[in-house]
Amino acid sequence: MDSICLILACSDGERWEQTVGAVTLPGELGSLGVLKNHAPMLCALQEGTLSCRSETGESWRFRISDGIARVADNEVTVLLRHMEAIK
Amino acid sequence: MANMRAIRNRIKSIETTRQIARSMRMVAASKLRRTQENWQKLAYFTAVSRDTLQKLCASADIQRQPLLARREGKRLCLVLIVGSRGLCGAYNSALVKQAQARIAAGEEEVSLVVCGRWGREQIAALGVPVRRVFDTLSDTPDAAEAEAVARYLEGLFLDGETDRVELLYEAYISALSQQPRFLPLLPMNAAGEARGESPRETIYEPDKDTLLARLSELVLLNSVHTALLEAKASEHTARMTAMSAASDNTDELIAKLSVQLNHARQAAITTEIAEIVGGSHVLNQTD
Repeated sequence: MDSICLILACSDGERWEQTVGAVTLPGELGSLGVLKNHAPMLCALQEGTLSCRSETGESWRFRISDGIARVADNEVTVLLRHMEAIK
Repeated sequence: MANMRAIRNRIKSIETTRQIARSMRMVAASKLRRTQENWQKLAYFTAVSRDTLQKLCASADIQRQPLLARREGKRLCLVLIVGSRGLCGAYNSALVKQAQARIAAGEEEVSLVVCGRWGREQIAALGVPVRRVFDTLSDTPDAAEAEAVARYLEGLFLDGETDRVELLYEAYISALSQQPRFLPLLPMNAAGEARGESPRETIYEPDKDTLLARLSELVLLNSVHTALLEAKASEHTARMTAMSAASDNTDELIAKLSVQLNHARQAAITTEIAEIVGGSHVLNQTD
């Protein structure tokens, strides 16, 4: 399966975890996408919208504060101050 | 009779105190559960952010980072996290003793920031300037409350008002043991064992300095929030223990007073019988 594990963790303890096919992050230098087997990366995020979709087509969107994203071994860990799911 | 009434009143008053102690114990237990849940929720963020910071610091120049660079000065801002009130045994006084010992050592120019409502007079008696008191912290401090404290401390440090910031709070060792702990906060200590080095081909976007600045702010916020919650967990535990002891003491007191009451009642009955017998003798003799 071409999937990656996405973990959103907030400094207030809130956490959201999902296996997804692709993630789009609001990077400091612009929006960037992460797929399976992405090179290890540390990326500063700006306030904006994070979106992701599973291989079955299900998608999620979050309004996030600025933070950091860590990509390694098909795992994307996003450290934030707060986030809010967009329905 | 007057003596018996006094003892009965005393027992009633102690029973009320016991009821209050039991209620406070139950309230503290409930608050402890909630605080511990929130504290445990932070563990993942703490582990990942610390690990990432350590890996980044291993390959970056931390002297360029305002929150990480070491300073030579001797000014220490001690953040004293006391309880919101008393009735928790030696919880607060142990912290003040630790602060007093640190100040008495005289190696640093100490100023205080206080988190908690307890003991304005005791803290003022330490004889060092109190920069600010955060006296509206809730029983389970949330991220917004922690952020207010963290931002203030960050401002003090970045404005050059102090050279170091340390937290002093009761660390939660177990349900039976809490110990005062000095935790260096700023400059941030990024030394430690990172779980494996960052791979060489790691992409840093936009650059290491920006990432370090962003991450150190998140770690600072998380450290303050964790310490506030841990201190509160210790406070609630200390209050539970104190109220449990108070409740046990009232049980003992009530038992002792009940014996006294029985003695007094027995003495009263004996006196009455003696009076009746005496009276009957007198009546028989007059007949």
